[in-house]
Amino acid sequence: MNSRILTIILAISIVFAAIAFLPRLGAMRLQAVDTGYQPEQPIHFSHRLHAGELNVDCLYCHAGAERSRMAGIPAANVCMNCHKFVPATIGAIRAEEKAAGEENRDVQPVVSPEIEKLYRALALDNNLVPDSSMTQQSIRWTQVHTIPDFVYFDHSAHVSKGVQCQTCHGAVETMEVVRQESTLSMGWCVNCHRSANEAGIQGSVVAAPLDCSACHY
Amino acid sequence: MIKINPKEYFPSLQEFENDNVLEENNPIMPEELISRRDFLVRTGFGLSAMMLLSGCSRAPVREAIPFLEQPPEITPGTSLVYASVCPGCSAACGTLVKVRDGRPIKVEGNPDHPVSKGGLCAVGQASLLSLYDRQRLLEPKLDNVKSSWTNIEEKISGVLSKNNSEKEIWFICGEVPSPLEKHWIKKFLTKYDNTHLVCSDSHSTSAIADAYATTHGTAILPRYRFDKAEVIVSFDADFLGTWISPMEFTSGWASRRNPDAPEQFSHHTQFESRLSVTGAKADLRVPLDPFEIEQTIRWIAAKVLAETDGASLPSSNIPKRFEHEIAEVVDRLLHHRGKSLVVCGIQSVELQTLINAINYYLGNEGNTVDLSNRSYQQASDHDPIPQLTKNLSDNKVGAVFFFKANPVHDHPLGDKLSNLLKLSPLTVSFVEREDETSRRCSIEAAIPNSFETWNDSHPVETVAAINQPLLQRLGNTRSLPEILASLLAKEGDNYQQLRNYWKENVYPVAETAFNFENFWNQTVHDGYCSLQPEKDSGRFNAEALHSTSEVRHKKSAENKYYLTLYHKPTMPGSAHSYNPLLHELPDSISKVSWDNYACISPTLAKKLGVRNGSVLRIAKGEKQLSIPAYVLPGQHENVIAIALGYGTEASRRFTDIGPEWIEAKPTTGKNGFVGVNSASLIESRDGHLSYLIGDVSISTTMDTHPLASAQEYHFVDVPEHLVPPSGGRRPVVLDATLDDYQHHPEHLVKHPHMEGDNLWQDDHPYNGHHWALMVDLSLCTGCSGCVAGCHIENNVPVTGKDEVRRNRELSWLRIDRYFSKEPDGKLDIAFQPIMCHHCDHAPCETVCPVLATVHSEEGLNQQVYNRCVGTRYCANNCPYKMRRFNWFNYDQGTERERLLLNPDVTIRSRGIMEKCTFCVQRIEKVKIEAKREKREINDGEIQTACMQSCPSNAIVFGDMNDPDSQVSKMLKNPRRYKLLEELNVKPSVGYLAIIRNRRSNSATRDHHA
Repeated sequence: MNSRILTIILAISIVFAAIAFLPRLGAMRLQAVDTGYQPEQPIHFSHRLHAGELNVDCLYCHAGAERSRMAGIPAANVCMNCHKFVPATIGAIRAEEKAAGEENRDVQPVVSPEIEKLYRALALDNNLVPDSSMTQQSIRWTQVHTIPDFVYFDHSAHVSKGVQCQTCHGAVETMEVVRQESTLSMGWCVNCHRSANEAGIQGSVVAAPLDCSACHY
Repeated sequence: MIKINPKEYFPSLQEFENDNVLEENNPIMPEELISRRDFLVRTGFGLSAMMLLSGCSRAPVREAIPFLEQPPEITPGTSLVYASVCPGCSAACGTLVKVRDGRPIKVEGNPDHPVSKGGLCAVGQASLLSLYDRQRLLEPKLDNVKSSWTNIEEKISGVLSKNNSEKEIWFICGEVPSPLEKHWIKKFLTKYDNTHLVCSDSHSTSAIADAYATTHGTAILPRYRFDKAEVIVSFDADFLGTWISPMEFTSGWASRRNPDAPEQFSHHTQFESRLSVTGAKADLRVPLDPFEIEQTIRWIAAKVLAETDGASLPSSNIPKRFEHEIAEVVDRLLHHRGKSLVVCGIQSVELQTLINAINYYLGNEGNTVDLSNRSYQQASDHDPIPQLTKNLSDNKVGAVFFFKANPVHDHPLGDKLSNLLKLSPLTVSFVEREDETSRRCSIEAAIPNSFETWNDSHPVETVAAINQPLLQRLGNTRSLPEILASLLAKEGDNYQQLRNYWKENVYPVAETAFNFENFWNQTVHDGYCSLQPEKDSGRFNAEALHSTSEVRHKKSAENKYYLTLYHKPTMPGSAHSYNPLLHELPDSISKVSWDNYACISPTLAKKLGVRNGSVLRIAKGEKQLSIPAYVLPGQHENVIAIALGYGTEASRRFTDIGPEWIEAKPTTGKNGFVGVNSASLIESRDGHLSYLIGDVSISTTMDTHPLASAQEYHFVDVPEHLVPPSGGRRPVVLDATLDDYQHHPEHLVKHPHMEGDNLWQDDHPYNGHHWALMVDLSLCTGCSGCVAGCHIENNVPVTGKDEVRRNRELSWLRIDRYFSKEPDGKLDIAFQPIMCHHCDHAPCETVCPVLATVHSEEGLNQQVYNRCVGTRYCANNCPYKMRRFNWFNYDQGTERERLLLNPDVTIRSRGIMEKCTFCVQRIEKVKIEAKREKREINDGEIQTACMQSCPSNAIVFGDMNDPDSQVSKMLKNPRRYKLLEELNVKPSVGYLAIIRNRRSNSATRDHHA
């Protein structure tokens, strides 16, 4: 009899607990298989502008994809290859030049607020002179594509076989803020491996492994 | 027709002796307090509620933090490999260190290194643990309080400047210092008068150097060339285990153990009083007590000299029971003049002098005994401690410096020294982690780990090597040359010091056509460089032999025994006793982990009425020691053997190393340490430390100290009630004599016929690769380097003594040791490394209810951790007992210690089955590399961790579908066999049978019949 009461009490408490947690269920996301995940990043970097309009190759910044497991987030010095010379949009620079001409003063350096964050991370002032009052600070990006636990994925194996970045990551060149397009679940991986074995990749025959140990070890 | 009967091999002593007296009490599981059913009922509700609530957590938001300025050589996710030097012991093997994202994660042997040739023992493999170790001293200490380097330097120079020249300054090195270190020590000491610099290795070979001083006029240690020796005779020298340079010697010895090239095959005789790994591999092993060994050396020397030179030496008697064998040894030596090698590990100048004479008159000098290319490994000066203690008590000592030396623990006069050290106004210990000696010193100078500094090594005359740092120093440490330079008011960091030293001292004698800059870069890249050999190495002087007539070892009195103190190959000294992995590795011979013990023969055990774990009291004069017994066949019945290097303060930390649960038992013994310190029994005689002690008495006690042995379970054997009519004991280890193998190789292995007995269909073809691994048992010395390498590569945790006793150790690779008796009563020992056999018809796969273990297209038996629910059916069904279950979430150490973990291998959690994967992460890495470069995988390109570490190249991994691969060739060898082949599980692991260089077995069998 006692155990029966206990069962009822426990069942009720589980129901209450579930109700208490219900409002948070909306904010719930499962690790990795989370399509649409679109976190805010510390610097508003636009893939649409860089990869889309300006047509910068994906591998220019994510060079690890060719030779490593990780594609890698580019180091700040890779950004600086261009942004040493490009501190703001051409419109903002022209506007400042025009304003300076009208007001009959020297042209001030124009730095867009997002690129300013990059300079600050490297402890540079707006004239790109190292500022001794600042220290270098790493840029803490938020990872968008996370692979589930117990899985090892290698970018280089896929890139070298001609798999397009967009196959998994979606049309990143159209995204203002990057969002996860594919589920990255095992079924999704295996289906692609199967279809690649049947149809090949870009006309060439491939042997995409279907063994567990290809990814799980 | 000759019939070769398979010899019977026994995994444990009680079966070998067929005697239950020796059986150890296995831990008895207590009756359950609460039944399984009750437990489930009571917890079921709670669990379901908890699961629901805990499942409702958000996936973590992960950050990705790139470099600000990425160094060009670094790509995140890939590893870099640097050449360096093994810090494990003074043999200074060449290493390759894998560095991932700025942290070293694996040490491997450097295959190009001219001395070690790619092997790396367990100690070298485990040396990385010292870098991240929680108990490292990261700041200097003055009077046991953390201090600054300025204060330390002020104190040292303050005391030394007041020191008048009457007081002595002692500098004691516990290991051969590197040339750079030695250079700075000498430079520092020249500033003062009355200084003593003494270097004495923890396992001293000072007697060999002294013997060469008598016979050749120079105190040197020659380089022994086992690769050139057709006949090897060793007297108590454990050259495959611990003696001088075991990796170099193993590789040399193994190069002449290929029975398929019989004209090259060496003959190896071992005279020894305990059972060593070297003795286990000998073709002829003669167990003698120390007195008999001395007699034998004298007898052989007299015979050899009489035959070669005509000179006469006083002969002696030899043990009657081995008369025939010893006479044959002499014949064999005389037939192989210039191609034989006689070595002796006994610390006795007289005996070593005789060994020099034997080698000289046999013409071995310049061939197998290379005097122009002398060795600096384990080179030792005379024992300094007796003089130091005397001078300390006479108040004549002004300062004592210890560098990597721990005489308070390691020396028989340690206690005395410990009390006297306070009489010196300055005591400094340069240490990486605190030890017994440093705690009694006023200054503990924290030195960096070898993975953090520039340093060099000079293992043999013609080879010098560079040790390069692999990460930033973890603490406020300074290397010895840096401290001494600072005391001498000289500038220069570690790197500049080494470069300058090499420019002035090494480059001029190097064999190179480069300018210094290029020479330096090349040497740092390769890890080593070649130097010119020494011109003059002295001549043999026959006069020296006159001093060798005196008999040293007296016959022990009635009821008195000999004691031999040795180092285990996996624990070469107290400096390594901080290392949990080395403690967990089972000893090669006894298979006991986490303890040292007194090895005694079964005869003696019966006489004393003791069994494994009974505590014995061992006494020599006033000194005595209580230590558990371990019964070991092959041990001479008058000899007790005890390992050194145990019972250190550093081992206190292992008390609760195992998992935390209600029945956990401490790993340390009643004394609070792991094992017992046996150093007090070493004898210091005429300036030499002697590890052979006579006139020792034994008494029994009522105490027991359970030992954790890893061989008394996991039998690859049939339980008695399941024995098939054809007989119970399966031939798990096959062996034959060279004679039989040469004439009738086809009789060696009988492969069973399988038709009609197939439980499984052969319906899975292997069209691509089919991975296989072969082990040549002839070459396996049981050194356990592979086991340690596997532990570190695959993140296998250390479980502690209690878990080992409960048969729950997690090692993915074990080395089984088997005893067998020859028809003439002689003992044979076999080692058999066993890992997952990756059976094509895997019995584990058919019983898994959740398909967590399945077969791959390349013949791998895959274990999928996230599918596993822990039923353990697979482990029960594995005929090789090679699956391991995670009973707990095992401790992987502190945050810093976890930096060692291999990021390419999953950390398994509680409730998961795990096992050898054939290092699938390495297979995948090479496969992807080959794909990227659009090429085929080369044979030998994929090296499993065990294969890489093997000094004798006994383990070979490869693709059996490739007809030209080495593994395919081994599979066609007439010696090859599969373990338990009659089960038809089609394992991918195979073995090559042991071949011993003996005359036909059938002949001896007939003779005895």
